[in-house]
Amino acid sequence: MQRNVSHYLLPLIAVLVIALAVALTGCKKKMPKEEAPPPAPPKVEEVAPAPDTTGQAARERQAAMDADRARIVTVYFDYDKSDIRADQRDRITTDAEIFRRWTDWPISIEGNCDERGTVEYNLALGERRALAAKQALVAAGIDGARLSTVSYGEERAADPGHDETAWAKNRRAEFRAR
Amino acid sequence: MLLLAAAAWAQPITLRMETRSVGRMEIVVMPFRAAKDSAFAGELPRLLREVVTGDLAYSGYFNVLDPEDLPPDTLLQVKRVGNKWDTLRTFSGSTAARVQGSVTVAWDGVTASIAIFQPPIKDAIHLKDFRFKSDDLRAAGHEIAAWITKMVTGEEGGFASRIVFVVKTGDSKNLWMMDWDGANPRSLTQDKTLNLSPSWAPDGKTIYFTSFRAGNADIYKYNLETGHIAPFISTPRVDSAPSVSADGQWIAYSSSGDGNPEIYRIRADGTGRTQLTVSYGVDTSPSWSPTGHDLVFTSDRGGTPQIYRMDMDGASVVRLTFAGNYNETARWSPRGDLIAFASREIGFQIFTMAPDGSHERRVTGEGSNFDPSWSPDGMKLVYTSQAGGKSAIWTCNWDGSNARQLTFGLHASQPQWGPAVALTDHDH
Repeated sequence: MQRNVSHYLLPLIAVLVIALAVALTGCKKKMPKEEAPPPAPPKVEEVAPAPDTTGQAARERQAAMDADRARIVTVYFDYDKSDIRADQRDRITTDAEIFRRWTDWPISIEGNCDERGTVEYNLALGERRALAAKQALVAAGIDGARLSTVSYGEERAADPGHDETAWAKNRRAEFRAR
Repeated sequence: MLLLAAAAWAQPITLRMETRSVGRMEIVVMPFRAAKDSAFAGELPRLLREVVTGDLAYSGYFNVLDPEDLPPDTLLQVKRVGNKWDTLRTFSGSTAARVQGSVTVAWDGVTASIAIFQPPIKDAIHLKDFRFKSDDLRAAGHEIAAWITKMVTGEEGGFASRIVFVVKTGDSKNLWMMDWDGANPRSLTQDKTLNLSPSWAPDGKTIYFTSFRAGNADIYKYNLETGHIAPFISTPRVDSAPSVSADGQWIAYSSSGDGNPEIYRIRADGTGRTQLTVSYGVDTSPSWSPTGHDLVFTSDRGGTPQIYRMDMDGASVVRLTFAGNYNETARWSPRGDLIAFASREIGFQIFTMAPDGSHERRVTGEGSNFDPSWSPDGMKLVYTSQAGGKSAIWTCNWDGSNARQLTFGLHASQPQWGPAVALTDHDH
């Protein structure tokens, strides 16, 4: 009697586990589809969800996300300027490609300035740099609703030096994807 | 002298500048003594006099003379009779007043009776008792110096006022406050975030400031009596650089809420929000004229940051600075006659100019000096200086004389001089 029950309960549990796994991976795949479909989805997304490799797929997707996150580049600005320099447009293109791939990432754009200038002016200038970077990303096809801006003015130096080399590194817009 | 000063005060702005060129008045402060019926006063009279003479000497109005320092021919009638100084009868031409102090110590506190004499009138022309606890000796000294200055010059000295400023620790910046002479520095906020650009309301109880406590720059109100911090202006963009009008009614500030940093004004109760600038560039650092009719601000609409003036409706915009390619943080003097600002060459230096942009004059010299703010009487400036390498708060007279460091061992910046604390009872 007891054996009989476990005999037909076991396959039932197995089916439930597989169904649950499929449902879970299905959910994960659907989330990005809420926005425009990415033009070049990474291969990880195409891996068929097999019940036993669910954890594996998630790990691979995470690894691909981390790799892309590490490829995000900072955009630099001229002194007292907030327009995107010609030599920085490739960087916007690079970032836009990454952000198109991961449509569920909210992106925070952080505008920064070098230490010259006053705190108040630099807060406003950093904001203009963040907004200029946002505009450029929108022009490259990123949904503006995903992009928030913050200005730190001269408060968050990337290079603590006090010369043009350091200042050039500090006049920047950084992108943070969560 | 008293009449002269009073008459000058009543003149229109352009003539008021003349009061700045009047030489310092000589004032004699006699040694304060313990009253006859006082309990043991110890060093108290001497310490109190030190605070008073320190304030008067630093005020920019006076040359403070010790009776011993006077050349014999100017004060022929001052002579020692036993342990007492005889009445002063002859003054040199510019000597304005003589001050005497008598200190009574009792079980419930201290009373300092201060008398101001203006010979040839024999009796004291002003007389006032100041009661205080011996722990509050410095505050009492500041109050006495403010009263003497008010009585002799008609001016509200800044002695009872306080200065709020910003201290950097690691990646954090917090608001601090100190007395006008640098005494009693203490922190107001203790956050792991950025708190910037404090601005006093004229009641001396509220400080508006910029803070990142919610993640990006917003404007908050700090209540000095309760320590309570309340949000005031908060958009998803940068809201910064608050400046309170002299009557406390309006707060001007910079906000990029519409996509670009522009100047707005809003009532202290949060109503009447009005956009004052519309330009493609950065508009920030507004500062009200004492009448509240006009504002000065920084804008890079012409290609570089420069100082502009406009009326409170954003009309009649005039560019004021043309020399140099980087002029910022204009602050209108409470007297109305001068605008202080920071101009950058290699480092910053502080300059003043008339409200029409004329009469530009350099105030500071060594190192980098910026963030100017006026004392309540408009006679002194407080500012950030990197003269010693580390950023510290300094003060000087309006013409740059008498520079003095106020903070030590703190990475300090963005000082804002608070209002003069009103004296309750002016005279007997």
